[in-house]
Amino acid sequence: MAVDNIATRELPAARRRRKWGEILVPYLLVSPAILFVAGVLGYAVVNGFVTSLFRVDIWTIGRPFVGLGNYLALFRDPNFLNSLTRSLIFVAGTIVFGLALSMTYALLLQAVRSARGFLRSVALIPYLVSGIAAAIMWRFLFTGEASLVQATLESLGFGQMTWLGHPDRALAVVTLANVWFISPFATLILLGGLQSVDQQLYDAAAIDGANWFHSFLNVTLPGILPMLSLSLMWLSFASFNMFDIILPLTGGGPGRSTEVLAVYMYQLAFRNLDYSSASAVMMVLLVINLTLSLLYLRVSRVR
Amino acid sequence: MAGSSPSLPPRRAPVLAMLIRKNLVWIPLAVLVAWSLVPILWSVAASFKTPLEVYDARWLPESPTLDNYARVLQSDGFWRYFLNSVFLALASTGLAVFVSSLAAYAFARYAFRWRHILLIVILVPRILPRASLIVPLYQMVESVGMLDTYAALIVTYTATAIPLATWILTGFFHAVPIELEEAAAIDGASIWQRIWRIVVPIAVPGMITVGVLSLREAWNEFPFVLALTTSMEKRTLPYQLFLLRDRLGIQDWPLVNAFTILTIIPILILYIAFERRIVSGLTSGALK
Amino acid sequence: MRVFVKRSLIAALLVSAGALLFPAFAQGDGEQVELTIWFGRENFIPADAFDAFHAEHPNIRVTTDVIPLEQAVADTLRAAQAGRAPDIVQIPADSLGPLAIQNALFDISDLLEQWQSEDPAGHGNLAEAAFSMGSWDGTPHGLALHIGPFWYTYRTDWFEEAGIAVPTNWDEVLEAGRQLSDGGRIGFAIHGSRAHDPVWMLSLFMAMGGQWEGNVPQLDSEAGVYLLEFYQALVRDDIGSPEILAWDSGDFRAAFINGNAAQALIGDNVYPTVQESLEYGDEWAGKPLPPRPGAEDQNRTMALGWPYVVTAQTEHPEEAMLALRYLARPEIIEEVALRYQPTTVLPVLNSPSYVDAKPWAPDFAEAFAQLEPLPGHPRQPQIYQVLLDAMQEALQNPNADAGEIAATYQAQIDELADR
Repeated sequence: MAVDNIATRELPAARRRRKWGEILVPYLLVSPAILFVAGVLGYAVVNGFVTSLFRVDIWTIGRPFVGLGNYLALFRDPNFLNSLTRSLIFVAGTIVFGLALSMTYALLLQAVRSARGFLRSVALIPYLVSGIAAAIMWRFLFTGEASLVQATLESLGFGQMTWLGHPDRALAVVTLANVWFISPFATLILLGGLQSVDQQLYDAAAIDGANWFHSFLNVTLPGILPMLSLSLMWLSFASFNMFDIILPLTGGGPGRSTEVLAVYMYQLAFRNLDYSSASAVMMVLLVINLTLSLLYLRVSRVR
Repeated sequence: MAGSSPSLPPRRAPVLAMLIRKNLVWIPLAVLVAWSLVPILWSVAASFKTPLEVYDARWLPESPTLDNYARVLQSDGFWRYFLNSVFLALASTGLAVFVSSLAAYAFARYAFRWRHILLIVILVPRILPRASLIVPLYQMVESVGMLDTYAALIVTYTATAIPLATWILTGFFHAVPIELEEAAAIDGASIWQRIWRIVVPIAVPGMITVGVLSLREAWNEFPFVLALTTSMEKRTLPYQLFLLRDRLGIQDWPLVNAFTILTIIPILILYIAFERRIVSGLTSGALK
Repeated sequence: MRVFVKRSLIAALLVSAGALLFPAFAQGDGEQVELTIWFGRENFIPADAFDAFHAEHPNIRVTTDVIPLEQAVADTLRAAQAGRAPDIVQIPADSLGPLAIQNALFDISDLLEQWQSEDPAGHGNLAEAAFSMGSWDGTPHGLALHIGPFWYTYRTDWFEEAGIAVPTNWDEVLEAGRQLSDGGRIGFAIHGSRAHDPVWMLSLFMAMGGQWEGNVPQLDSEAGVYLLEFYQALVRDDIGSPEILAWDSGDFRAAFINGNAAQALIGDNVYPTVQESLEYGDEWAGKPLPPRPGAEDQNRTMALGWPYVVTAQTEHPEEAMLALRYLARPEIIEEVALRYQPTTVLPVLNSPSYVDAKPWAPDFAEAFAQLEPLPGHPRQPQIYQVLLDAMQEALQNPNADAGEIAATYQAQIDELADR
């Protein structure tokens, strides 16, 4: 998507000889990738869309066509509406906190002189852990009276607090764990952006007497705008799709307070065995993600 | 630890101010480093404890034990799962990097019809939730009779790695000076030769970046193994970690933590070995 | 030279003819049969991994795999749609419904009769529950060789210290919990998370006199409202864990085993693990679940069952039955029962080695004979989600009117059941 920004340059050789063979070359080069992606992932999308138009669950004989019936039922289902709200809070929280965190991290990493390599490795470590492992670690941080978080809070003079057993706090913990897990990649993207900003622009701003904040606003931000929108894209669709951290951490509870859309979809498909409703949720997620991506791209172009 | 500048400026007060300002950076940085590492270090600490000690909020166990690691390493099939993970990660990464290189070259060098559409076709599936792929993929893999085969897993892993890889490599290939290729083209080099002899060697940091990211993805993958395998011989470490949670009845936290740490180590070593190239790779124009 | 070529040609022909004929001869002895069995937990697989079975039936090859019980129904249905169902699968007894109504199960009535006539003693070893829990609507599809009740489990030493009598009904359980729950101890440990099917909840429900109508639990009955009030009291009076809503079964078992909880519902299979840290009799004991005050006559003890069922897609029902009969042999099932779930193969429960390994077994012998299966419903998965909603609603609103909560969720359950 950001690749669109690249002005494509062609080889002069290709420009001179427009033979059929030459014209076919790019298509041939792209075809294996298209085959893999369309064959595996594209198939799943199409299949999901088709399934969402029928009634497919284990209680129905055959597959009756229901049109948009599954979607209408979804938007009347309080559990779906709840998971939509929960998703929005979860994603918004992740974006605000995750972006602030990864921006700070990237700026600091850019500012230090020594131990840079080590610090950059440290920053990316959480991204290398698998979702299940991350969930296990975070659950372990919060479970039990003697867990690290409880003990620390107590030594600071706070009383016992429940975290995963309290609906709103559980959502906060899940959001934090998610930020921990996915924001390192955003940090990496932003760091790439920061390092590519032209040093001369900073020098020029310094000559104009700009302080740190002004040069951040006038030089850094515009310089990394594409990376910023990229990080936003990553943070938001990774969060909308997140389920492997939440499921082992809270199972969607307490109540249904952490049952975001992806978790709700998983429950529909694998616990309720209601495949068509799950497919409809998948299409809703796809539409949300597509809309957001287009929005970010639009924002990053306007500068 | 840091911050003292090598050449001393003439006046004193600004030196002090500068020293303070430079070192101020370390305070928030220390907080962030703690944020990144505490969950992992807490898990490492737990992996050396006995099951009862786990319920003490203490960092260092009284008598650290390697027993948990021994139990994991000696558990049935651990090495089988380990080798499966290694094989699947390497095979799918190799394939994904190869296929993505071809596509990235086309996107970087040719202005062909449908270019944008094809790019979207490759990138959009990336934003799908993984869990939603399970049921349709199962039906598809079954219909071609490839259930419970390495091939099915390699194909799905490759397919999920291609979008990001193609996208990053396109940036890298585009940054390779076109003049080099023009010279080679005049000497009669074919496209194939230009890709593998000129563009790819220059874009090595990009290949490494893409390789490590795909390895990480394949190494940690779980939903597809859950759905597409039906026998223990084909399963991987994350699947075993998932089973471990329920098999024990009561949470054997030290064991689970030891297993978790063991699954992280290989990918961590790989990442640290190539860290410099990955970040410098991303910096030198990959994500522009 | 020529002779040599000729001879070798003939030899080659003979060899290939032999190779072609050999399988035909081998088939004469009964063709080679492959059986696939999905176990719900690794622990259910006998230690000998069917070695003795293979020795007795050289023509049958058994392949085992572990598909967790929680996934077994969904995986079996998916595999059946693809024509790849295993021959035998182990599932929770209360989820036979979805498989049965999709015609995914094999009717083993004739095979059971055949077993009874060939080996009346072996057949007679099984408790009634073994057959009833493997049946749907009266049609047998498999055998529940392992069943697992939850027992009311408590710290005898703490009760003695505080001078509290062992509770005889749930009011007394709560009262004991109130008295024993100070100083960081948990009065009554149970899970409140959505991580599991609500089987602990239903076990309480049944003990409190809860009823099913047409296999649909009646939450808005007196027993149901009492059950929700019980959950509310756990939170309101700080009897349960403050983390109760996040606790899954591992957490509350660990709380009891590690000496942080006074009372809990613990599965028979976990008793050996409890015994590793606490001494039965001196420090802890268990008994069947007590009744709701005033509903003593409706008190029942629920048991979960994990039957091995034969699928409709099997091509070798006779061989599958042989495998089931093998699993049901006292010497095979005893090895599993000694280290894991108790069994419906009655002689095992009275064997000296079993009583030796599980010293509490005699205390529960009577209750074992009267265990009740959990009724199953085709809409079970969805009904369970609603029950979990009701449980969590009660836990989150300890002062709300339990009757209203019961009515709200009963309406949802009934709507599901009527579909």
